Amino acid sequence: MTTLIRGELIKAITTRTIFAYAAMAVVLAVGQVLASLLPGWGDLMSQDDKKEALGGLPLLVLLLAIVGAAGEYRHRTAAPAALVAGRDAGRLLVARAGAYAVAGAAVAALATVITLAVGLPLLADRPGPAVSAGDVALIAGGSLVAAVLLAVFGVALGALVRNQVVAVTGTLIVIFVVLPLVQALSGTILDLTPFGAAQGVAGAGLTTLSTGAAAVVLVSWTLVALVAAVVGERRRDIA
Amino acid sequence: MTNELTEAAITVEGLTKRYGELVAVDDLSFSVRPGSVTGFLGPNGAGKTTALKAIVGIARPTAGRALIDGTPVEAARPDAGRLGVYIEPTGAHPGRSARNHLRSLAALADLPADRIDEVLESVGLEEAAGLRVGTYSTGMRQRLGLASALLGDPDILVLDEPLNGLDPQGIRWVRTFLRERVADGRTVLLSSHVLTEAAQTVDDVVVINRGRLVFEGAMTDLTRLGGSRVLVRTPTPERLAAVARDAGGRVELQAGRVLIEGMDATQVGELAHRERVLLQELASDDASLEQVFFSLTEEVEAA
Repeated sequence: MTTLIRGELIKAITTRTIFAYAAMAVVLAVGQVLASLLPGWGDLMSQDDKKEALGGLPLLVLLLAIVGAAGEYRHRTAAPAALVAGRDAGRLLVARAGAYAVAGAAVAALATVITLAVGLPLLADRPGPAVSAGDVALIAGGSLVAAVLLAVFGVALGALVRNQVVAVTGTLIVIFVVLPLVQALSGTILDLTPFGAAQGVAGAGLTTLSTGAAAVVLVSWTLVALVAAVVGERRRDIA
Repeated sequence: MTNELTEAAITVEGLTKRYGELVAVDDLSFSVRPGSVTGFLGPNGAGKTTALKAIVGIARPTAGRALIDGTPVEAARPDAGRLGVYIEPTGAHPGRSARNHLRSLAALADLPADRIDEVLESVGLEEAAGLRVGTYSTGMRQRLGLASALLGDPDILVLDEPLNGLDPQGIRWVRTFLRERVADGRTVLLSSHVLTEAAQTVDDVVVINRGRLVFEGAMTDLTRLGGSRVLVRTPTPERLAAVARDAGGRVELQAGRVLIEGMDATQVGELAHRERVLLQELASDDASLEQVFFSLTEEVEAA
């Protein structure tokens, strides 16, 4: 499995896509920190709001994984990989998920480090209760865990849908159109979705779930999606 | 086609592939002799690529099976050292360099990195290895596909239309390359929709049309099927015509050339040598071969 992950990782990091997504992730993360902290600069800010400013949904890691996995079918690279590896497509998909988990963790780590470098000095000057070093560590660790799980989830989604445009557009519609509607109906249901749970894991305080419970929900979604994708890969033609 | 004592390199048994109502491959059975180049021929849309995909295991057959060295391909997927494949719908990311494409494949196959330089050199892409695949010409992509298939130095090569898009030098290079491999005891199965193009490269032929087998045999058998025709240029056409008629050929004199039917080029060459007739040109008539191909595929369409 290590050789398969290595081969898939080489694929993931040898196009410009990952660098473009990493750059966008950094820009978005910094933008989120500034948008959360700068308005009402002199006002008191609660500890939860401060923590939420540092954490966030690693959306670009999810999109990177979807684009990478679905791109295997768009660019017809899934078949030569399976042929040369001499392994079934399901096993190769698991390796691909592993590779994107590593790549996603790297992108998230970069975004987190820059978020903290920009956000912590600003937070220190913002009125309100301080965020402890332990909280910062939990947010940073949670962001990495959420990124890893969302990368695996994204690979599974990309493999299930196989069409890059449909997969990315569908995901964006769910996140920006469907989920706000769900939130308006019930915060509990939102927290139980993979995206809601990911936010909880990444440091945003959820209405109904603790960070640990959110992690269990996200792991469950990720495993279900990955198993479905592996079964799909074994039943469908690779090319 | 296969000698009973020799296990076929590739065996296809009752292979069928349906996409909904469309039957792309229909109960196809044939075998590929080890140490030979076998042409897998048929017009565009005959089902060649679909059949090849099922044979190498990247498409699931609706019925039937394919065996590589006697083992069902789905039961034990052959590794890169046993089977090398280039099928047109398989490719490389346009934003990745050829070297990185091969690096990823070598890593997936657990092959040493120095194989990358070896295959790049063998297909003549070492200079362009750092360029992104999106900038490649069709011929360069064909060469990269071949390089991918050769990474594991496989015993069996399956190539889909490897001559497509190649310039004359490229075609000659592929032909020489494939002949050298089979001289080494390796096996090649290559598809083509142009019989005359493949005729100079293959030993055996499998012809399909509308997913069904229409001919399986040696290339020479296919040539005989249509009756061989040879075009000859000689300073003494009347003399050649007379000796060819005596040898049983049907002869037609055409403006300085002699068209001989019922004899192949080897027979005509030997006859001319024996009778001391000077030949300036001796060529098999491809139109005759192409006619065989058309008649085989038209028969199925009419049935």
